[in-house]
Parts: sequence; structure tokens; C-alpha cells
Amino acid sequence: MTLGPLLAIETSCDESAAAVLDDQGRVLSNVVHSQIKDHAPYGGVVPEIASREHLARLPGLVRRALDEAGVAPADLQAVAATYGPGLIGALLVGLQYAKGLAQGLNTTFIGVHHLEGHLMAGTLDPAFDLAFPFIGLVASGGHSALYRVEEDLSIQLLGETRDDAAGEAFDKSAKLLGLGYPGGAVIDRRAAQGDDTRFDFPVSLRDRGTYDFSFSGLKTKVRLTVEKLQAAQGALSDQDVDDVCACLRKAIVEALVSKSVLACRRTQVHRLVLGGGVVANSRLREEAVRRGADNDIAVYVPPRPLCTDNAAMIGAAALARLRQGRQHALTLAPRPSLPLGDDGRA
Amino acid sequence: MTALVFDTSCPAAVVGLVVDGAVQAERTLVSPKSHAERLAGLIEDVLAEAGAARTDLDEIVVGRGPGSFIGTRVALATAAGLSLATGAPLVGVCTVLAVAASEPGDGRVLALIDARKAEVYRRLVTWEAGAVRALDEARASSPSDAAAEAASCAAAIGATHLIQPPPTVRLVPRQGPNTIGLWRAARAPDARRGDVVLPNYCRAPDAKLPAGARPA
Repeated sequence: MTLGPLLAIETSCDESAAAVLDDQGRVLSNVVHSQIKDHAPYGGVVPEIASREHLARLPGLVRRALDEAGVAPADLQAVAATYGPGLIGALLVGLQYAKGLAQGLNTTFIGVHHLEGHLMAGTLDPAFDLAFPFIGLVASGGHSALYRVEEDLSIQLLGETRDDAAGEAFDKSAKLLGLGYPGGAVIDRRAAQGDDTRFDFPVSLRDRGTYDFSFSGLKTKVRLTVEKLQAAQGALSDQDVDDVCACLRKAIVEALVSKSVLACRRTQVHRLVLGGGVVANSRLREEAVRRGADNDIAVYVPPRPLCTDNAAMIGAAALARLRQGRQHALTLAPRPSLPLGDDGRA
Repeated sequence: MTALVFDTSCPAAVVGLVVDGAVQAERTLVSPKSHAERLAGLIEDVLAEAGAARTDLDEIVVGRGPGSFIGTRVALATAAGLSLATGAPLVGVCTVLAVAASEPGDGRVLALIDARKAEVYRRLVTWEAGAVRALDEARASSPSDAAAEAASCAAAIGATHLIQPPPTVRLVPRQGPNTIGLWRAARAPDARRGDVVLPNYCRAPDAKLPAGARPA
């Protein structure tokens, strides 16, 4: 049985995405429509707006992905879609579309765990010959966790955030600083001009024997720092904002990188793969590579379009699962809090 | 002319197959929480019962609401995938009109769907010489306003339990449209055709802007 070409669909949050992969896992097309502009005025993702926008965009995106790949619908050997975790209404759009397409083509259908997608994004780059097992760090607006990933795709959770996700810490701090939503990119930009030694922001759970993260204390510290500056001088200068951004970014990146290195060393797995929207952060990308080199760890940082939500990574995870002989019936329903390792079958 | 017809925007989902205007097979499912899981199976069932293949389909007729936001998207997303796969054009129809067209009437009829939040989606139609025609647009309304509208009608159809019209109005309770109602609604001038057929939500998303902010 050949597994490609395969169409993958991702609609778990605020990116509508479609991609076509061949049976070797090469990306033939990868198109994404970000809804950031639709949600920005609300200061966060509005689920009903996300669902509406997915339905309006997805059919056009799928046609574009097929056109760019030079693949006709009838050529597809499999159709994949994210079925959790995520916003239920958003997941439903991609999942139902994929099931309808698979049913109409009488072809294989498979649902994919969103985080498996992020973890498998590392397999998409032929230049990076990814070997198993590896340690995977997923850091995004909804997730911050470390995993150990085996060749059979059994995935063990090593540690995760006890409160906010890393991306949430960026977003909430940006809101506090009046930098708008989403916060990650603008904080990264402002931080580049700031002094990252001016404030002493806490690095979460630094000295504890755990792989867990915690970012709520940092958020409070940012708030107190901003209030103190406001009380002393009225408003924050541009330099103040740059400096807060630099120190915040440093603290978040330090937590993510030091726990990742700790996990690699303690488990004797000297391969680290990064994934998730926060991995677009330039300091995280540099620090992970630098500290990996210091510790004899091979670090793979996917190109930015494969870090933020996309369908190519869903295709990569789907292919890996299909090679194991897995697929799903068309009764598959969205699972907003789908745990890893649950294959969706009752 | 073979049409696959379905709607999942109401408490009762319906899937049917229509050949040359005659219903060949129909399934109804009253279980809103499992519409997304069961839809594909119901489609297989009606195709098998009618002895039709996916490749036989000349059109896919689907209710575009108003109704449950999620339910309406379940049907339209599935239909868009099926349409790309089979090449059968998509026809989006007004679900309230389809409810009105589900059972033959005479004269003016008010069709109703439960809109939750103490409202109904309603649309006024007229039956003349065995054909149904919409007299206005679907919209959300209070049950008391809808009852007042129904007072000028021969009948009310659909979520009639939500209104209290005068006893002269014949009540025809229905939990959603049927196959022939959807097929008839596909002949109405407001049926939408195209690669992307969007729901008629009749309501803005429930989202609050921060003070002073304006939508993009």
C-alpha cells in the first residue's frame, strides 16, 4: 500500500492550514492562513470567530495546497486531520471536512494528535537525519512540555507547565506593557534592543528536581516591576519597555532551555527537537543550539513556518502512524483535551 | 438527477437521497451530540439503500442554517469535503425554509427553529398550488413576536412548542427539516452554489471587545 500523496489539515486553534506530502514524507505544499488579525482586537482567540473563519478559509486552502503540489483529489491515498487537543468548534471544521473528503474518495482517513504533529515536525527536514529516541520540547500559547519520543511513537511526558504556557506568559506580559496581542513576536523584537541584566526576573523551578515549568510567578514579577516604574516616573519609557522585554525573554528562554538540557542529560538521550509557536523566538532558537553544543546534544530547531501551527507537521505524524498500520473510522469525533497516547478508539 | 441531501443544524439530523425529485432513502437521527460521529455512516446507509454510488451524485444539498452554529458547520464542512472528492456541486439551502417545505401546506405558514437564548429563528412562507415560496428572510425573534406573526398564518411548523399562538393556528411540530423539504429549498432563489457555502448564522459571534476597541 502506498501512503502518499497525503493531504493533512490543521484547524485546532487560530490557524487554518492544509499540506500535501508524498509517501516519503516530502512536503509538496504547505499553506497556512493565520487568523491573528481577526482575534487581535479581542486580546485573545475567540472560539466562535475561529470556527467561522476556518470554515470560510479551509476549502480554498485545500484547493491551493493540491494545486501547488500538482496533485488531484483523486490521487490522494490518505486524508489526515488534527482531532485534538484544541478548540472543539475549530477542530470540528477540519475534521468533518477531512472525513467528508476521505468518504467521497473512498480513501484512508486518520486523525492526528496536535502535539504529535509538533514533535514530528523534525522528521520533515531531510537534512536533519532524526534518530530515535529524542527529547521533544513543545512550547506554544497553549502548551509547554517536555517529552521523550520513541521510534514506535510511544511518547512519555517528562514535565509540563504547572500554570501558564510559555506563549501565554509572553501574551499576558505584552498586554500589561500595552504591546497588543499576540505578544511573542513584538516582545522578541523589543527585547533585541533591551538590557537583559536590568531586572532580576525569576527562572521557574530552576533548582528543583523536576522537568516542570511555572510561568505565573514571572508574570507577577513583570506586573510589579511595571507598577513600580509607573509609580516612580509616571509612564514607562521606550527603553524601560525594551528592558522589561529583554529580561522577560531571558527568563522564559532560560527555563525552557535549561529544563530541556537537564532532560537530555538525565535520560542520556542526546537529541533534542523543538516545536511550537514560541520556538519562533530568536533567543530561544540561538540558546537551544548554543547550549546543545556545550552539552554534546544534537539540537533540531525547525524553520519558523514548521514551528507555528501548520499542516505539514500533521502530515508527518499521520505518515508515521499510517506506517504502523493505524487509521481511524469516520466516526472519529474531536477531542478538545485529547491526552497523548490515546489513539481515539473506543 | 441524483442529490445527496443532509442537515445537522437542528435537534434531528436528516440524511437522504433524492433521484429526479423522489426520495429514495432517508435517515433521521435525534441526537445532536453525535451528529458529527454518525453523519458519515448515515450517508453510507442512504447510498446503499438507494443503490447509488458516490460517483453518481449530481449535487450535494445541505442546510446552511440558521440553527446550531456547530451543527451547521458539521454539515457544511462535511459537504465541502464530499463536494471536492466527488465533483458534485454544493447547494446550500435555508434550513428554516426547508422546515417549512417539509410538509405540504396551504396559504401562509410560519416556520420555526429553536434558537436557544429564549429566541426562535423564524421565516414566513406561503404555499400556492403545491409550491412553497419564502415571503421574507430568516431571522432570530422573540417567541412572543413569533406568536403574533403566527396569528396571521394558517399554520406554524417546526419548534412550535416555543410559541403560544391563537388556537386557530394549526401547529405542526418538527425537530428539523426532512429530505424533501431540503430538496425543495434547493429550488428556491436564495439557494447558494459554489466551492464555499457559508452558514447563515443570523447572529454575530458571542464575543466582547475590550473597552474602546473596535473590530478589525
